[in-house]
Amino acid sequence: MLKTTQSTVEKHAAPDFLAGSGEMASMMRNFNWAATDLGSPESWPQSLKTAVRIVLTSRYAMWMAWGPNLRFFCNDAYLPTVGIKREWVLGSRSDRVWQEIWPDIGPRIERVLSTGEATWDEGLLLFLERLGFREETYHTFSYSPLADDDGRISGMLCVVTEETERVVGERRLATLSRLAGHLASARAEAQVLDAIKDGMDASDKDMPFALLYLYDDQGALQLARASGLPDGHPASPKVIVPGGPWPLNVPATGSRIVEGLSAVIDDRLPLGSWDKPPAQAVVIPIGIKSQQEPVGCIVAGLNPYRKYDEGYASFMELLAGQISASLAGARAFEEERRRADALAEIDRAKTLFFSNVSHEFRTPLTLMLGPLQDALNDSSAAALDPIQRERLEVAQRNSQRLLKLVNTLLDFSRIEAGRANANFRPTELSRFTAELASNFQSATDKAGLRLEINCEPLPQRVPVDRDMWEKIVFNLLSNAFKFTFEGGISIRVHAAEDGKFADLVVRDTGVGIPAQEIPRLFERFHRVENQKSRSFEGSGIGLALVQELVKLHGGSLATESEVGRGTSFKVRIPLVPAQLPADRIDSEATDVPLANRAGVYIEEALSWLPQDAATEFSVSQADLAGLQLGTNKLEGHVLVADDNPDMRAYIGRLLGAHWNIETVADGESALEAIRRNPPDLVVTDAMMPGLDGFGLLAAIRNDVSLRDLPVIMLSARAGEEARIEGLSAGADYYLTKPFSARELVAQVNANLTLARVRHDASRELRASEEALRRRTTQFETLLNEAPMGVYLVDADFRIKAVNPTALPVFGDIPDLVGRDFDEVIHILWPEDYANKVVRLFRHTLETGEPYVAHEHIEERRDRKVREYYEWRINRIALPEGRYGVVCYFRDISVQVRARQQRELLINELNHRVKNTLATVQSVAAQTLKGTTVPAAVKGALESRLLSMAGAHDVLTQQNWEGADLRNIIEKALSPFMATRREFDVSGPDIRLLPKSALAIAMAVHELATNAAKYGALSNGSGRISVHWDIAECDERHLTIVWTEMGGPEVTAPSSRGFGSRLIERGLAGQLGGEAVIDYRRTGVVCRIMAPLSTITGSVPDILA
Amino acid sequence: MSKRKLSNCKVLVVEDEMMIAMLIEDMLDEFGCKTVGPATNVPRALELIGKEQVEAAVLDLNLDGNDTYAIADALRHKRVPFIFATGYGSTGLREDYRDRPVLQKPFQARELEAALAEALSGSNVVVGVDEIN
Repeated sequence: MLKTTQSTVEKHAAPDFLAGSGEMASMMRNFNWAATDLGSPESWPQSLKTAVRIVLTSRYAMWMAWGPNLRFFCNDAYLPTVGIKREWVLGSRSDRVWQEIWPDIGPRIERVLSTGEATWDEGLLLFLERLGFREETYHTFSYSPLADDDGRISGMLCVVTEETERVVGERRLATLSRLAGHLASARAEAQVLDAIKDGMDASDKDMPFALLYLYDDQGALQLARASGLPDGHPASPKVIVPGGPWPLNVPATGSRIVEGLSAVIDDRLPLGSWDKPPAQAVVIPIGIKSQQEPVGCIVAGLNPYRKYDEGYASFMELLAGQISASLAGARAFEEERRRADALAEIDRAKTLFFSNVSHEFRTPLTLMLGPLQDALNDSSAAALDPIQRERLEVAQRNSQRLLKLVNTLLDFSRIEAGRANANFRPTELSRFTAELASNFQSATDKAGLRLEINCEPLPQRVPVDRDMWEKIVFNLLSNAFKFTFEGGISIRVHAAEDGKFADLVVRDTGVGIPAQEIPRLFERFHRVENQKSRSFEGSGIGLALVQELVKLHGGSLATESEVGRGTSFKVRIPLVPAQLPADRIDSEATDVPLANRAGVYIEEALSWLPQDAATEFSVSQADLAGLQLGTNKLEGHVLVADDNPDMRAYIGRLLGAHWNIETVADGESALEAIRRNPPDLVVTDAMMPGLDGFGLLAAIRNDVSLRDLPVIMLSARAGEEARIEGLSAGADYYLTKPFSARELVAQVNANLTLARVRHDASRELRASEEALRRRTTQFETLLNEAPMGVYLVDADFRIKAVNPTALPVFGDIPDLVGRDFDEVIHILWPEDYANKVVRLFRHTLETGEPYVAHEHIEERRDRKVREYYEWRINRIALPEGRYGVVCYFRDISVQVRARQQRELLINELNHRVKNTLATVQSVAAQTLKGTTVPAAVKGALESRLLSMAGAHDVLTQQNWEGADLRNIIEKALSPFMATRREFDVSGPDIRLLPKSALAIAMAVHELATNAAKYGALSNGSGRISVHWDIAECDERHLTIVWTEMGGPEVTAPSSRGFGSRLIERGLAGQLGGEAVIDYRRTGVVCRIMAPLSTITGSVPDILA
Repeated sequence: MSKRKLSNCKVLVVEDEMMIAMLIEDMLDEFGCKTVGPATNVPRALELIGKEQVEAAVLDLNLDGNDTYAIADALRHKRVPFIFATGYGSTGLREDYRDRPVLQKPFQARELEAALAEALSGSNVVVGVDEIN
């Protein structure tokens, strides 16, 4: 194909080897080669032509240089590499074309030309100026030699692939994954920030410098980390301030470019990997998902040799996204840690506080207990009477409880402070434990529980601190007792694991512990919420103490529990504690009387059991001195709920002097008692096991039948806040413990009085409310079930109420009630009609004049169908004292459409009948045409047809339901009327059945025809009166009298024609009456009489 | 309503009932008019309007179930006076033709004559027997 003949060349303007549709082919054809040292293409050596052809036809990017000046050629695929130089590169010297990279490529080309050896470069960085600036680009290319026809190397061919996108893309990806790697192991914010800096440091090609700014509490952007810029550099201020290099406002999304850095920054900027500093920087927001506003921003200097294009921007955004996510993580982590630290700190503070307080308590408690004990032990004559004794016993019992709590707390804080010195003594653990446990026998017996003690002898004596072991056993037993209501408690000691350990297992059949609570069971002050127990009291410290004590013995504590089945605690201690130095084991026995210490636990356990009613209510008159209530005292029944038996008994005694008292130990029982026998007032403790005072209060207030029951709440929690909490929960009064007996009694009395007044008032109110409710319900039912749409618009033109029938008409408008009427109407109806409706409503609202629209057709805007409505509006007074407009309406579309359908049908029928009549008319005319039949006969036939058609018309107008007698007569007479003066038509309004109407129309027509021929209408001066009336004979009759006057003298015809036959026979028959024609000399008189019932079908409508 | 006005007047008859068409033709003949048609369908009528110099027209409203408003529109466009002859009342007419003269079928020759004369004189008064109502 390259061997073209001369003649072919002549035919075409350009040689064949330059053919083709490409841009370069076309440029080459049009190029003035003759002006160059290469001469015109025809004269080129074959080898050049071939090379050019190869380049031009290839879709691979290629360029070549030829001749001593290395003239430049390239193909279309290479044009993007040439960029803005494309217009002039062809035929130019290659060292001019690639001036900017000649230092790189010149020597390579030189070598190819001189040695004939091809070169190979992969991903070589070249700074091209193809887009108007020096650009970082990468190319993989090979230069190969081109020989001329004589085999001399005269040129060079370059085949090239541009790899800028790949190289830059991979580099950015590497930056991102390196950053992700650094961030993966960072948790705290400082670590995350360091990782970010490392990541930014390693990306100095894409970010010659990078700054991370974060907002501080004052909303200022503080420099968090800087990469590529030294401290104190003007481009990296510590805080972004107005007038500085960086914008004060961070964009919420996207990015912001800062141009012309050299102008805004006084110092030299870092070069990164380049030989010149960045000219632009980008500001990108750093956000955290949970916050709407950015938390900071990145300011990054941009590579001066790349355009900030889409790829670059998305790299920066990905980077910012990564940084945002890790910062969010770090902040959440810090927050979590702060919270954990705070909790631990609170715990420490609590322990410290309690132990301090405990110390303070010990002395006064001891001083209280001594005299109490003395008084109770006094058996002399001047000793206590039983009532005083009982009081002192209560005081003693509770002082001891307090002392026990105080001691436990002190033990605890000692252990915690590392000051608990266990005093280990070899002990026969089984026997010791059995003795301890047996102390509980009386309590379990009283509670109806089994106590099983099963302590096997152990192979050897076990070194334990007996005080501590005692506390372990008592605490576990006491705990089991507290949560067990039936079944029993078993305590077992046995050797375990080949005799290396001793196990103590305390198992109960109590309420059990929910699985999720077990891990926290031994935490200090932790208490299982809403657990059913014998007492709500407790500090939540017993089990924590047990654990600490077991630890001191080098042992372990384990729990198994199932809700509703029971719990078991297993204490395991080593028989030979390896870690105990021998000197810590004390062989001396310093016995403390066991029973004494056990007493505190047993007493407490017993106090959780229900008390005997007899002891509970013993109260002396002296107690109540000064608590007299005078004449205001009311009878009443008061329920007292308190889990503390002493408190319960105390309140019972106080109130029992005035009212009937019932006492219960928790909220559930209280509710049960209230339902069984409703009291007049409830006194409840706030804190109780199971349902507490607040729960009880809520249950009472939520029960319609109990709602008004007065409740007085007692609580140990003092302070305004606790008081407000109680009152806002619905308590009628809130008393803080300790309270004065006088105050409690006075409050109970006051609340009982108030309740009674309230009760009477509310009964009346309820009765009237009930009556009102019934009336309202009645009206609502009426309105809701009305087959008619009703809605109400208030004085502000808001829709106030809509009944169910009206709803479908409003369609799908959401939240209809409360919306603006004007707006709603405009959704439904076209502008004009909607405006009109609104105007009418306003008019009625302002004037009180009702408006009635009988039948309104309008196309719905929302549904695009025509709908028919019948509606009326009235003004009504609304309860709030203003007016409203109520609209009653009926959608009569169905009826209207049915009516239209019927009208259409009748119209159609009428059309057919009349067409038929016209056809008959025509047939007759055609038949009679040219015959000898006189014209009068033809005319008679025609006029009879027309008369029937006329009657049809009248009937059609009334939908063939009947016709008005007057209309029928006038219609029949109309062809004869020259002027109205000839006729005098009168009578009451009567509606006829269609058949009767037709018959009468025919009769009148005949009479009139006769009159026109021979009678009153034949001489131009006669008159006719048609008069009808209702006559009462046997039944009501219609009489029609036709009277002619002023016509020529009448003679009776010799024979009866069609007309008289029609009237006297046909009509009479049809009407079920009679018709007589009297040919008087003065004029024809026809009298028609028919029973009304036959011709009207019903009683006639006689209108006044 | 002089006979002169009607004589040689070219009147288009649109009517699908053959017998009625004949009747109208006879009537027109009697008035000295020249009948164009009768056309029994819409295309034929439109063709005649285009071809003949129609001066007036009598239109049935219903041709075998199809209305003749297309013809009426064409006539109105050419300003040719016309009257409807129909079994329907004037309420059956399309709104824009409500005020056109309607001749109730069946009608007498003199009624047709009067209606035509009226139409040709440029009056749009409804002529027909239902004037009384």
